[in-house]
Amino acid sequence: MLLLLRTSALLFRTHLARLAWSRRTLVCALLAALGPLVAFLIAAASRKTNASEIAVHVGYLLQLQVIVPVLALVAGSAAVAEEVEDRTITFLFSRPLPRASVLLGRWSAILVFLTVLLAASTWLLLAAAGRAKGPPLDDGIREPLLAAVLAGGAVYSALFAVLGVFVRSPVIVGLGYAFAIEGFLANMPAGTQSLTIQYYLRSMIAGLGSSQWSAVEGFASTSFEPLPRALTTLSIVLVAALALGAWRITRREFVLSS
Amino acid sequence: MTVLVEARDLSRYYGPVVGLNDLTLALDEGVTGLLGPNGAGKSTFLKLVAGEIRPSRGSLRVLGYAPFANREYFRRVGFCPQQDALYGEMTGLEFVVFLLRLSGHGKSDARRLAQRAIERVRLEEAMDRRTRGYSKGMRQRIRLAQAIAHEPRFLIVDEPMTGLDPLARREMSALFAELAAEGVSILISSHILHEVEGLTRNVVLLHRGRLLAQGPVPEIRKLLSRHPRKVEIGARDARSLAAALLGLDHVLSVRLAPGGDSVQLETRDLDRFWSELPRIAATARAGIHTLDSSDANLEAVFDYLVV
Amino acid sequence: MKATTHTEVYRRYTGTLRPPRWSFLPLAANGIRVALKSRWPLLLYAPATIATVIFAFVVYAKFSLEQGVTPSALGGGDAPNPGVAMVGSMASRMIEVRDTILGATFALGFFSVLLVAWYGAGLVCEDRRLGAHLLYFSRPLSLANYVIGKLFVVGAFVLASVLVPGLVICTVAVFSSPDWSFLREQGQVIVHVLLYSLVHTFVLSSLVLAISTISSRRIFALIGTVGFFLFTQVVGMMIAFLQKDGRWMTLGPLANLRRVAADLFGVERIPGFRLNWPAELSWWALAATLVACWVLIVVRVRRMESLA
Repeated sequence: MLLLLRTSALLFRTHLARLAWSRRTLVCALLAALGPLVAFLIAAASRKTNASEIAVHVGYLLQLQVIVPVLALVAGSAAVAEEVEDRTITFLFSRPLPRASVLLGRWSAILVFLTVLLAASTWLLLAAAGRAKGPPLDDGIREPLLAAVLAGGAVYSALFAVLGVFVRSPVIVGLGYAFAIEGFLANMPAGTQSLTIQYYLRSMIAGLGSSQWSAVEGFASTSFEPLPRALTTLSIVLVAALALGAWRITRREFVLSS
Repeated sequence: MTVLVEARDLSRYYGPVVGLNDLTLALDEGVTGLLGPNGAGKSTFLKLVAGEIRPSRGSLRVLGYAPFANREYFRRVGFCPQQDALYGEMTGLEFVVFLLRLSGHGKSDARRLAQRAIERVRLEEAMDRRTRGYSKGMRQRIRLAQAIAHEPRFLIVDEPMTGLDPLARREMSALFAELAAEGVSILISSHILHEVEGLTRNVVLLHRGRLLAQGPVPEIRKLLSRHPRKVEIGARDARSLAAALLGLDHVLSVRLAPGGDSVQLETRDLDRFWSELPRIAATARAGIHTLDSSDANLEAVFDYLVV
Repeated sequence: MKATTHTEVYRRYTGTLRPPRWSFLPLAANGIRVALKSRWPLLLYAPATIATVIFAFVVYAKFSLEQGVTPSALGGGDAPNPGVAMVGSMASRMIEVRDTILGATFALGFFSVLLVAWYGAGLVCEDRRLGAHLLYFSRPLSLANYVIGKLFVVGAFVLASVLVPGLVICTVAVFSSPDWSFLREQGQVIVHVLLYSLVHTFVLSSLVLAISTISSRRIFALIGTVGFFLFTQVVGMMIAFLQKDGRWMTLGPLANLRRVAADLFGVERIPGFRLNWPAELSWWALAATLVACWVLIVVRVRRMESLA
């Protein structure tokens, strides 16, 4: 266990440093800038819409539903799959280290990276929306959005990182999952929503947020999970995914082309 | 001698493609060359030995361990893969230090070992540059440095000479010889035969995933009785020597070289030929000045076996 | 041995090199053949196939109901199937065949994006990454032929997903309508299906090719394509809702294609989809998108050609 923690910490530090140099980081930063940019443009151009309307709509429909899964996919899928694709995994797997540390260490670095990026992006989004007319944004909008976005970043990135342990092209499978499953089922009526991560993230907003979130179409009519249950479900998904990934990576062989 | 690698009915399939088929062999300590044409199964065998992949069938023990994902085994082994992959954003020194630290070495220890390994592969001048800017030869050397840095007992090297210039090849060969002299066992795959021959007489020949031959090259050659042995004799009076040689019943053909200063012959019994040659030479007063049995080299053995 | 040279046999070519006129055809045929080698992506056609079967049955049911068959009896036999009866009752509410075709097209919009992303994302960027363009442009292959060849590859797969369902539904309508009434009274729907399929295919294929030309890897082009459609769609919808102005929907190419489809078929309302902005705006938006795409494609491919 100590060895697992030690090598995970080493891989965490190395991957965090690698992320700083990566072109992937630039792509992620551009993606993260889209939410604030759209909020800024609407706030600047519109006289009909007030700050809270912009914040809840851009936050809910764009940031949480599109930006978070895409960012998590771009960053998370790199955890193991990037090493396989670059064929550098040979160097790691011919060392006396617990193989699970490759997944855990690198995912931890991605988590820190995503948390910083998403927090900055959401803060900028709220600041941009706050420039519009109307009363200033209250904590009933800010905190739930930030909490849901960060939780989404953590859970989605873990799922996509683990996907890289199981399949050769996690980006393709992840895209299919994020949009065909999450995007589709999360917007279907009735019980199918509860099969998606998005539903529990929205439940967090419903549990923490003010009544201003009802301005989003369909929000008021959806019956969400209570907050403790949503948090528990998200935590279980996160831990189960990582445990499954750790189990698989210790057994799987990665056949690399020469 | 201790058995280093022991494979029994070892097979590895990639879906419907057979990478290695029913291989049974034992390799002793020392340097062993793994030879075969492209697609022979060399890399598959090395990946199995390096613990990168599992056998589909059969068993494999290296240093007494089952290699796949075996941490105890990895402490004793260095692997230099064939694929040209590195962490481009790291410097050469950082790369080797990083992998040493993953092997459990402390910071200062890892740095000391890394520097020593980099010096051994003669890359110290470039060790603080990012590997992204390395030439092919430098990349090969840094890969070798990471494989030898933790002072392994057994070194596995996949096609180390590919893409290197002659000078770099010579340096690489010298380094392998140095490591072997220090007692490191080396399993080296290549299809550059004369370079392997310069390192070791012990070879394993693979072809289409099967074991074709194993052992010292001259002994393998001896076993190839269906191919007559070729001998070239340089002599002052080559013509009379040729006439005398024709009288030997195990000599199958005799040919006078275009210049008339040497005889090329084929015999089916080389030992008898060597014992009878002094008598023939004395009788014919041929004045022999050179003797060469050219087809006992690795290239010829390889040709006989594979082509 | 003495070295010799043979420069005397080489003469400068003084003729005119004329690229073959249809040289995009081998490129397109080969691209399609290579794409068909992997079978799993063909599963992306599953939703289109299922939707075609369902909507074709709805059309069949509609004409059967018009001829006096009761909804519950549509399945035939003594014990009517409840699923079939449900489709029958759906059909009884369906007004026109064109509505059915539009419904199917709208429902399959997102799968079209997945198809175009899968089959089109790597077409140009992988050529550049692997250096295949060096081989292509060392042949007498013009820029136009190269681009058209690539367009045909992705276009073939997209066209199959939009034209085939429409034509199948029309065929069912032709044969199940009494006295060929569908052909006589609504025959223009077939022409509209054809026209719309071409517009849909051309727009989506041009977009994915443009994204492919600016991407370094297939995987980035894939994310870029899906992300682009999704982002523009969500942003358009969101701003339209916030501003209470449907014209913002024209930010999304998919919304524009829907609006244009409705315009071509002469439909003003499709249940479940907002069409509350002028069709001309969508035509203009699509034209602007196409111009931008083709400028990008030509500039980027010309650069590849000059580097080759």
